[in-house]
Amino acid sequence: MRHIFISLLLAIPAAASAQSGRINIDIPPSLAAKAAESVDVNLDGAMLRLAAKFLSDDESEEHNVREMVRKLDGIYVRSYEFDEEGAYDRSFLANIRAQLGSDWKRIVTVQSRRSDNVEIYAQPRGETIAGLVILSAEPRELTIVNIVGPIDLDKLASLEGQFGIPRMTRRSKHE
Amino acid sequence: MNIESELSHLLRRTEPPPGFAERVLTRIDVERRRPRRRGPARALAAAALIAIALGGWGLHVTLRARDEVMTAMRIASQKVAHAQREVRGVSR
Repeated sequence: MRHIFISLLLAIPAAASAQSGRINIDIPPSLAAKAAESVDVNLDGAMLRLAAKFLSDDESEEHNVREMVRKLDGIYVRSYEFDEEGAYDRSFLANIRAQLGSDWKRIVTVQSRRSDNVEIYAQPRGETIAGLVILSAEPRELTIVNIVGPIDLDKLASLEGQFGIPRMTRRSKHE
Repeated sequence: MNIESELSHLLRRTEPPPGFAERVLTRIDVERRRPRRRGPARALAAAALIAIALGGWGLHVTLRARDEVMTAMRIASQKVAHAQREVRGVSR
């Protein structure tokens, strides 16, 4: 009985966070240590709103990003690039999927031999999306994105390749 | 008058005017009691330095957050656009 109670107590925060669109995307430190380059982004709603004030408000791509992030409650990204193929265990992604409750829907699965495998999960709320999780697994790269808050997928996709979005500022261990 | 007598004349011991010591002590006492005016200025300078330092740090954090927003949106948009292309490619 006591074990059940403790398990319930531990499950409540995880369920509550998954309910709000936020999931735990932290990867084990041992895996992160293997990465040659990494990107870690942790921005809650307050930081997003603050950062949005420093994005250009003219008709540029920054304006589009600004309009998009103003409504969000958080953006969390983990992206790791490895020197060798198979440096990470793909079963780790199962831990991420396990956090997604029944209110999350898998909307896209891309399995490709040529490029990366991508899974996109959305948390629908009415006619909008309240949360988004992107899992991207390549032989030498692992990327997990969690966007909390209303997001338009078409607008998000349209940002790709637009001038003004900087190249990824990866932290390289070789630097 | 030779130089020695001139020096001895100049360096001769003279008594201070009456009440000189009391006036000096009174002046010292007054100066000690007078409130220091440098305190507020120093406090203002310190506050200004702290404000500048905090403002600089806050700006640094905000600009870093701005770059992180752009990086995060770039990664997310790449992945979603890739998935969209693959889906459209299959459906054609």
